[in-house]
Amino acid sequence: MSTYLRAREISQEPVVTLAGEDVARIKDVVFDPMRGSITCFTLSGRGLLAGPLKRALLWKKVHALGPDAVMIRDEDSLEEDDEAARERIEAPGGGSVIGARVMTEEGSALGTITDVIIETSGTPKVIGYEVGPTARTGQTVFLPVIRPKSVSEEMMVVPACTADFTAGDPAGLPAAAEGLRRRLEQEA
Amino acid sequence: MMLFSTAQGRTVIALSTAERLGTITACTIAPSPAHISSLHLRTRGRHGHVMLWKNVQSFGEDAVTVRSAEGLKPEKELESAEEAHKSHDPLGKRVLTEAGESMGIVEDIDFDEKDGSLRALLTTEGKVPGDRLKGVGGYAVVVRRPG
Repeated sequence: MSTYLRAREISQEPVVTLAGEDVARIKDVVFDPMRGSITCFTLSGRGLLAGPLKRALLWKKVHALGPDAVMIRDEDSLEEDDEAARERIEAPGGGSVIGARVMTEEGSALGTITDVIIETSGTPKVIGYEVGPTARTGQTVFLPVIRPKSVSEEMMVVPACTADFTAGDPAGLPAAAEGLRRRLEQEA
Repeated sequence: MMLFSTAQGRTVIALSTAERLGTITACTIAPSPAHISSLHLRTRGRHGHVMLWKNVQSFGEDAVTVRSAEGLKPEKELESAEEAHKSHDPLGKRVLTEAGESMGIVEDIDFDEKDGSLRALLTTEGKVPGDRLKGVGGYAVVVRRPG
């Protein structure tokens, strides 16, 4: 079982009840970039209902997030009232960090976020970002982000030392995150 | 041990009238406890029919016997929520664990011909014990994770 999922892989995953019915498809993963926690999923319909569904799936209603499907207990788990979900979606940077630039506090650009890496062992958590190449680095890297300083749709500001802890693949992120955490503690 | 593939094509006979009702084409399964809930038959008419497992008297080597033709229901009269509805046919369906991981496609099922209990699902990726069955729907067969 793969322990790391990309937000791009999760979008388009079917939402399946424990009774084996697919009731919707995931459109976007909405998360809190400051904490790394997943708040909800926006949905699109399937088949006759295709197109955006006016319903969302709150994280607390998810039975499991897997590599092939998002499992829910039954169809009642989908939020009928969209309001609760919408509030969360409109939180700063929620779900739309793809395309945002990663900037250090000291003003060097580390690249543009191309995907979000989610660790699924235990409670799923955003552990870092895939960052597309910059002119300077010339390659795609994985950046652990433990405590961003601030996030907007346009930009994510991270501690300067984040640049020292890049990983070559998602599996290298936990070690990179651990290194970064220690460094941040030393600097604090 | 009996594989459903070997039961397909077997004749179903009504004991009260000594009639051949049709031949087995498919089945549906249901959880807790995992069992075969119905047999789907090809009958002389144009449409398929369904016989609930509880009407089965004996699953013999040459024929399956039921008490009478009374239990036979046209497939199209079933609601999708009913256990015997075609959407609960596991064959050819993907298997998902309740954690959302794919475990292959159901190729055959191993069942006890005496009581209809489901022993195992045989999938393209191996055998899944019947007692792990959580549900069968139009999209997938959902099973508990191993271990």
